[in-house]
Amino acid sequence: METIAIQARCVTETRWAGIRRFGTIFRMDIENDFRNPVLVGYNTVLAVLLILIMGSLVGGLFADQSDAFAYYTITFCVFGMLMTCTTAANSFMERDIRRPNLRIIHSPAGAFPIHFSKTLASATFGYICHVGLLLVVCPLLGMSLGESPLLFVALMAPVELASAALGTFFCCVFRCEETTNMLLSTVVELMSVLGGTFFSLDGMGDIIAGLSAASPVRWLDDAFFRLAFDGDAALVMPVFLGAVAVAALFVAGSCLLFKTEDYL
Amino acid sequence: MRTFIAVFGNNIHRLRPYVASLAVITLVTIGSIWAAVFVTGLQQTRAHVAYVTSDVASAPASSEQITITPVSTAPSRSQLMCQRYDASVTPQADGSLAVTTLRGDDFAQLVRMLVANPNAELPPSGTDRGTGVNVVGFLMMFLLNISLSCLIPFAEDREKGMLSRVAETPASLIAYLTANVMLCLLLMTPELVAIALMELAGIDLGFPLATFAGLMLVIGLLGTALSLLVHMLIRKSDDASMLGSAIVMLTSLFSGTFFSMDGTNKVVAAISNVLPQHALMDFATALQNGTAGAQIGSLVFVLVVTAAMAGAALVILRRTYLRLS
Repeated sequence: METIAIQARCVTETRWAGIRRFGTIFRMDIENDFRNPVLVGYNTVLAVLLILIMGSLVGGLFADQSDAFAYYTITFCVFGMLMTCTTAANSFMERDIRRPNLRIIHSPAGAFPIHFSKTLASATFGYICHVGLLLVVCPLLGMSLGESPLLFVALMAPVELASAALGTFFCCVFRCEETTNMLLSTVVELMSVLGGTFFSLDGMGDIIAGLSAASPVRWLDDAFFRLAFDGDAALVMPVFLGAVAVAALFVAGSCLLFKTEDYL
Repeated sequence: MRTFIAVFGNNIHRLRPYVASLAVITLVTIGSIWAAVFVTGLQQTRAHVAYVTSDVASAPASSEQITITPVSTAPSRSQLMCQRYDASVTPQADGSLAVTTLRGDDFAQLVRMLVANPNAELPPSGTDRGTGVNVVGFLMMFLLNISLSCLIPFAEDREKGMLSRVAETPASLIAYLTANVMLCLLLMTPELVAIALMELAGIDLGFPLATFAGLMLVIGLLGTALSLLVHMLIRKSDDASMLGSAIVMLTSLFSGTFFSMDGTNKVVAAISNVLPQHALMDFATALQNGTAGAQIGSLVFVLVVTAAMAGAALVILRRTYLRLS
């Protein structure tokens, strides 16, 4: 009886120690992301500039100025969330981070916190940046996120996580940050162009509109558009569950493919 | 010359891990040529309209200038935002038309007129861009991005300190740099081949192959000069290439490479007028209209910007990384 109790206590203690170790790594990873001026700039300043530029280019041409800003605020927010995968690749396999990662492998923390903490940290980093972006841009351009801004913001979280998990997974597949970044950013950009992030393709005939509707970026845009402009939450649940499923799938894939010896 | 051949061959070898991603970028770039041809063909239609009625047969027919889709319920605001429809038209009991659009009263008036008479004579729309100019514009951002990635071997050399070693050897630094720049031109050949094949297949791209080759050379040199400068200003090569592609994206959008935005917004126009991409677009438009001689200043401006960026990069290179006595 006593041995079982001791064993149970040991298990709980190791679990707590594991969570504490994970917390330490996680905190370092997040700090690392925020210390990188290029990453922060890409996720905040560049996004604001893109919204302002595209909004003023298109404003008056295809829509009122305020509608153009509203459209691009949402599409570039979604674009930024999908680009979180490159943040994850960056913070996972960047040259300067490989050596510290190598030390974690040989510590009692084990291999799992290395990739999962990078995924979680990148998702959190992206989430903070993009929510901050909305907090600045929405009052500035006088746009609203619909009747339920909280739901809008809540829906962003699983998307960020799925995107970050995707980046980490492809790092595990290619074992190279540059290849992952180049490939993923090109694919995301292509999907975004098709999905109407930079300019809407819906008015270009049935074939192009069909192609556009096939882009996953478009599905995400649609969910956020409907939430913000129509007050229609029908797509929230599918997007939420889909993003969680994708995130779980890629995290599991990373666990499977991440070989510590690749770092050596 | 021997240095040039050795470095050039070596660089090609060093790009091998990037073959997959370069192939993706190249395919996207070639796709953009097709997109440019497609978009030019689209510019005829003025409006896509949803005609709200329970009786499909009562809806007027579409014409070249307007597409009319009969629907039973009015489109939502998000559908108008996405430009699924430019306007929603509801016939009223008194025979007039209620038009809902996000594009202002002038456009609503145009829609009212076109729905009443789909084949009405309209003044020609403002775009003066032919296929050739659109192809150059669509290619611009992608080609600039490709020339950013061609300096990967150079950036690696610099980051690992190989650059100062190269400088210590009797090898010519100019030959070494030229080999790196030539790599960029090599990476553009697939696009040129694609253009040649498309022209051979009888697709009208607006300009002859030689014109495209010349313009691509100018774009490539501009991109390489920018890339060199960015890599000289920022020590970490990842950060440098990310900053470079951000600059390329913002300036290309601002220059109206994808769609002309002259006269939409004064601030935008003022900024875009000093950008080299805008000057190149002006030159391409002049080429299309046969007045290239009068616009030669734009081309000279692009070359001067290129030379200035390359010159600045070389000065920083000599001062910071080579420490020549």
